[in-house]
Amino acid sequence: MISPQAARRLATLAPLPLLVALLAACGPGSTDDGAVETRAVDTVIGQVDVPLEIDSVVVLEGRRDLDIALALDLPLVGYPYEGPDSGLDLPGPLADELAASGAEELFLADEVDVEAIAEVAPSLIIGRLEDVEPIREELEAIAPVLPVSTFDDGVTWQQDLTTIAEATGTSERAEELLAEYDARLAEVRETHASRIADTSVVALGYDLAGTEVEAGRLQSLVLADLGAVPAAALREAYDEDAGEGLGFSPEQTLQTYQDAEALLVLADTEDEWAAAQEDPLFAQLPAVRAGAVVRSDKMTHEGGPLTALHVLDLVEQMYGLV
Amino acid sequence: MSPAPVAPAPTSVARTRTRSRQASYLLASFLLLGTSLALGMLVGSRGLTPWSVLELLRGSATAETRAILVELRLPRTVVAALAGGSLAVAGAVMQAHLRNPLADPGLLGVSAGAAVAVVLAIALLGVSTPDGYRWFAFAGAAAGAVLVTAFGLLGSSRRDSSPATLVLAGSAVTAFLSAVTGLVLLLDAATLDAFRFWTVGSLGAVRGIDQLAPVLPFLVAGLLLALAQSGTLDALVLGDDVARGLGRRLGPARLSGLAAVTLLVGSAVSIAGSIGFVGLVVPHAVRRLTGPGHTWLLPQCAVLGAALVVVADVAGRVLVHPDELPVGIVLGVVGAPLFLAILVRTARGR
Repeated sequence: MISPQAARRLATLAPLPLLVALLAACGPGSTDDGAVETRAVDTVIGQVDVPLEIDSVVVLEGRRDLDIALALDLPLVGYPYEGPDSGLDLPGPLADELAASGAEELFLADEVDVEAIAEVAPSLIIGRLEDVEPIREELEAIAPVLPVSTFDDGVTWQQDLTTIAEATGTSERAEELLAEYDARLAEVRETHASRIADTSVVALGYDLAGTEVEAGRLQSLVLADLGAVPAAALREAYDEDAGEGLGFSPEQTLQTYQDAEALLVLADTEDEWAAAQEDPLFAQLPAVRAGAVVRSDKMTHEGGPLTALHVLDLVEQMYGLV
Repeated sequence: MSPAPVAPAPTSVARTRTRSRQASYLLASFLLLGTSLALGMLVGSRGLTPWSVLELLRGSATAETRAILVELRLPRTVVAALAGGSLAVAGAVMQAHLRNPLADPGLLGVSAGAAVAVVLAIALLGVSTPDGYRWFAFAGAAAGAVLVTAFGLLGSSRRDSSPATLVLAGSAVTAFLSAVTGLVLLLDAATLDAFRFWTVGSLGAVRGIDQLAPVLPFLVAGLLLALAQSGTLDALVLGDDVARGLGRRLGPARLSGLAAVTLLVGSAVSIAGSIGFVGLVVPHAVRRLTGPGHTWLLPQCAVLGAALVVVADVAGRVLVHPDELPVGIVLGVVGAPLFLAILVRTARGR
């Protein structure tokens, strides 16, 4: 039996469902008329309903996600940028495409700003899984989120490209990009066939604390795709499968890379590159003495089809110096 | 943290230790330092035989051996020794001035000042190498000490900056500077990446002995200034009133003490990054050997502090072969338990 007081409270609350319904009706795409048509996509974070019409895209990490968005010609409106303290002085592999996109720098790399993303109200967010997970709910309140991965997680850029393309209705473009990469790979392979077969190579990271080789970095993956002969350190890194890569102290520079006949050196800043030139052990490396060295930086550690093509250019340049 | 006597009055213990015994302790410490320096040259992540040093001296070493020994191991070993000695002496001076056994160079805002300057240099100016950090670290250390001294003097009724006032001012300034450092790092992950290399006191980036030249005069000046104060430090340990009664002028004494600490710590952090525990642990351990008299305590701290950091650096070179552990991490891992052991033994001995 309901008491009179309880009945009065219920009567007071009675209009609430109606009020909620009215308020909800003000939200985007929730009325029958304005409903956004979506495509359900299965991802590692579950099913994501991606709008069929994508007006604007924001990316979170700035390498694989940005590359794929640009390569698939998605309407990019915002992306993270590297601050001056990163010291990067080489032009990024996506610089031209970014300039052409007219997209806006939204926040510092590794400092995802949800409010800045909300302000541009994208219809889709693409981001690296590890960036998405901690703020997934906040991001999903703004727009559907499509995760991309990294090779360290066992997912190639080709797989991510295909997944994002399927989700955004751009599979045809993705096929073109994959074919373009394969064709360029074949071209480099053919042009430098004998050098590729005879020259041991390695992509190494250089800074003042030492050097490192990582099998999961895009440069190492492109070398593997090409069928390059890995120098001992790269071979060990491929075998290691540790994800973290192999680190070597400054003392071991000559010993570690002595067998490499060509180097792709990843030095992020001009200072680090200058330090490498002054490093007496680095200077004694056979590849350095032969001048078979090409520099790149961390912006080519990860990426998608555009960065992979850029790395292929660097690799071709490297073989050209042998 | 309230100031407490550093140790019993110098007279009670020091007298029991003869000059010859102190000299023999110092000689033994020099032998230890010599051994650690030899290890610093012979042990590393790239295996070299002991003969390689002889080959180097005879001029028959390979280019690789020469580069490793002359360009890498020699400078980093010397830097480790100078930084360790400086920090240990600075710690002993601090503990005497503040009459506080828990005092270390970080208490005067010196380390926090260096850290905030390095962080701002990275974040605002894009400085990315230890060479670039050097003068920012030094200037930051000096600025931190000046701030603490200024507040200490302002807060002291007798215009001689009492230990309690200095400790409080140091804590407040350190907290403020650390907050600024934290804020910059929180807002900028790229700066955090660069800063963490400096903050763990890595010597792996030391290249060439010539990098030391600009800092060496400051370090030597700090060391001489500290050694010249040993009599004053003995008096200060007894308390301000006794020191005053013994004819010491506390204001100038404190200022010269702070200047010595600033020169020593500024030099150390500018060449080796932020290295903890040395300034805290070494004076404690050495005091058990020499007694509290600073005439022997300070040189012993210099020698054993140097040996400790060199040995820690050598350990860091081989513990995670083929990579390296920064010396600051090795010292933290070893230094914390060592300090606790000293505390327990000291407490039991009372």
